[in-house]
Amino acid sequence: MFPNVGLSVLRRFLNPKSGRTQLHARQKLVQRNASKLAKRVSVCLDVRTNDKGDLVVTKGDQYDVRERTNANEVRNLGKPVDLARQYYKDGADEFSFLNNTAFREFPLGDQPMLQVLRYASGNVFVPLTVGGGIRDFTDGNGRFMAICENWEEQSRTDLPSLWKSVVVSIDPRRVYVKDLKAVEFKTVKVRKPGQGKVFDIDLIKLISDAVSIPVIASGVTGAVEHFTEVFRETNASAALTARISDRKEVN
Amino acid sequence: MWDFAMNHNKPPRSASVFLDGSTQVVTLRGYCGGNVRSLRNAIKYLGFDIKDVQTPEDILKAKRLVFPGVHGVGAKQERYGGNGSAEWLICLGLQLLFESSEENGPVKGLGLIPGVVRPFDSSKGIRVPHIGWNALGIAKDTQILDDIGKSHVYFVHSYRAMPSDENREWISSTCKYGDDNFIASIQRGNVHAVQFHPEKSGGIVTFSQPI
Repeated sequence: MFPNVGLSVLRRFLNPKSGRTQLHARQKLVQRNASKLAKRVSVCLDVRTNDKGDLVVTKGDQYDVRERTNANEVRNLGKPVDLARQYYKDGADEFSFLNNTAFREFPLGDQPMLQVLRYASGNVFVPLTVGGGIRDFTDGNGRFMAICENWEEQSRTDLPSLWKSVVVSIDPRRVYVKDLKAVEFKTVKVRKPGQGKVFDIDLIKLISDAVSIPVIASGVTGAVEHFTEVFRETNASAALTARISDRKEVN
Repeated sequence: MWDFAMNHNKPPRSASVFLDGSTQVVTLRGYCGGNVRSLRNAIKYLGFDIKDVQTPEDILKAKRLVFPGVHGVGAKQERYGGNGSAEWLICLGLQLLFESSEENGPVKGLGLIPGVVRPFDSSKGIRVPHIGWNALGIAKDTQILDDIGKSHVYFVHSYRAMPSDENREWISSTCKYGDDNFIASIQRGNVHAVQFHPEKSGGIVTFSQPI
């Protein structure tokens, strides 16, 4: 059995002389019933530039990714390409490389991130998504680029498969209001992201029932039962998590 | 039949593969850089060298020709017909072989296989696009699917071709999504095409081996 089914299809085309599997196994294949679309577990790698200028996979409390040490360095969980390669071997279904801070500056200038994606695509044969910076942009010379121009420009960088679909990311907050009047006085309590320990099942259910496109549930979770729950209780097509990858807390 | 892809006012940045005697060289015919990169990586990973198609003769000389798909035949034609700026490549090798497609169209396909490529209907309770790993129902004993076993393969598309009495002999596998049991791969002689992404991240790929 070839380890990567997709690559085996390609290999068998390129080299038809490679031996065939046994007849009875093939006949069994023809008889089996088709299954259905699988739920995906997407691994999120939060990539930041550390003080030495290297891209590292990090993890933070909201936007604070620095260690609580004297050196106060950027939390370093490993090199993006090495980690991606490892989790690919471990069976990750897809990857999201996020760099919310660097892309804020000028997404087209983020060459190290683009290089990470190029290297990753040479070793990781599952879908890759890049996040951050896909928006309207005015450069230093006052040249305005609409969101689609920005996107088009990025697609010229010869990246792997990044542009076959567009993922919209929504970072919702659950807002508790005791008294409607309170809203006017801005005393609304906002639950900070990262404080929830599990997927917000109610919210994901509401959203996934309201739209006809695939929904990726995002949550700060690392436990297998949380994935089982979100897939059982909601219509989410995939679940995204960073903890599973960054800290190997789940197999 | 390859004229369809070659006949643009601007030559595509491209990839076509051809095999050169004893060396393992694959000729790759592609529309644009981005989508093709992951396919190139996959071919290299498997130990093959790639030769890009530069002229129509390269295609005729090729022993293995890999023809990556594009995202929407109509969009692509329009792009090349226009200023040729960005190519929104991605997935369409298999769909190109049918009579026509409603994606960015209707537009004519190569007409090799009877049938029209139409969108999934999200009003029937399925999510569109069809993204993710799905299982194949094998319809034909074809070598390239030998290792599939119980594994799923990766799809990302909103349009699909459906089986009919006219195209049944082409179909090597189908895939079930909602009520649709659409065509997931075709094989006839040395021509193979797949709707899924064997390289898992690039475009849909059509293969052909000149006889």
